Amino acid sequence: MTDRPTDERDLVLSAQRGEREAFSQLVRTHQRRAYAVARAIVVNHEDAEDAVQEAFLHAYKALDRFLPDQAFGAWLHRIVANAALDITRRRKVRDADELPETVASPFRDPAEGNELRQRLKDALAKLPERQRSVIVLHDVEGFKHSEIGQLLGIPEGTARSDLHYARSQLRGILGPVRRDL
Amino acid sequence: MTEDFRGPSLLRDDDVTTALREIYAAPAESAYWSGLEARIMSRVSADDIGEAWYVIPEKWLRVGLVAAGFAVLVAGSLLMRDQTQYARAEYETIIDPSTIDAPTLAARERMAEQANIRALTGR
Repeated sequence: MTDRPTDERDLVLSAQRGEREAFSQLVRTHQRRAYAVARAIVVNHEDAEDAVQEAFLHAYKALDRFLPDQAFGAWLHRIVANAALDITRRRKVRDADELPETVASPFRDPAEGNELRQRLKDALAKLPERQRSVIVLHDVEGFKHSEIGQLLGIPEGTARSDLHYARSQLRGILGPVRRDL
Repeated sequence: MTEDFRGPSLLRDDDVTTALREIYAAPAESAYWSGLEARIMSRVSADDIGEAWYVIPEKWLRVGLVAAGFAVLVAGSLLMRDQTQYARAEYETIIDPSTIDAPTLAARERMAEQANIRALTGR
């Protein structure tokens, strides 16, 4: 990828020299997309935010190993995806040890109050995690199969088949619901 | 599950995609993003301070290692010298009873007497 603005390379170089404001600007530029990547992988807003924070901290620590001629966004997204996958794994272990409980979220989900959206949320909860991540990354965030493969550490073909099965599953689950609505 | 899917893919369902976009929408308020940026930078600063407490510059680390090595050598040679002196003192005590101090000599004589008494009385 070489279509990124040259000033980003300058920002990266400045951040590598220890200029905090340059790194802050990189955070400002990339945090929304980083959140979208994390949100596609984890189950809620809070975990997505945690993953974004962890990822930026990790990126800051590893900045001296980043080659400025590469795309900072793609590098960061892989770190975000790893942080999100790690949070998902930890959550699984934690949830296995604890009784399920509902955690109040300070962030009001825009899907609330809409029947189809609510049913879709229920249907998404029934999807295998990886299929859910793939359909969100592809259909919502617009990532390509190859990019999704890199983010989730799976072959491109698997990302493709996951997308197919996720769409098929959602259609199967939502089909009767939509006829009712 | 196939690792290399080549079958016909289902087309995207626009209703579902629209609903998915709403479910996964990122917070829109700019205050949220400036807050998140501030939290990230605060963690970065905390990490810098945290590292400063325990990260030792490499040059200092080398000097410290050399000094520690030297200290071990000095301590080792002192210990060896002490042991040699102690062994020599022990040896001199055994071959020359005059070097034994009076209380030790008296205690030894008492112990020898008691051993004789026990041998005679059979106890």
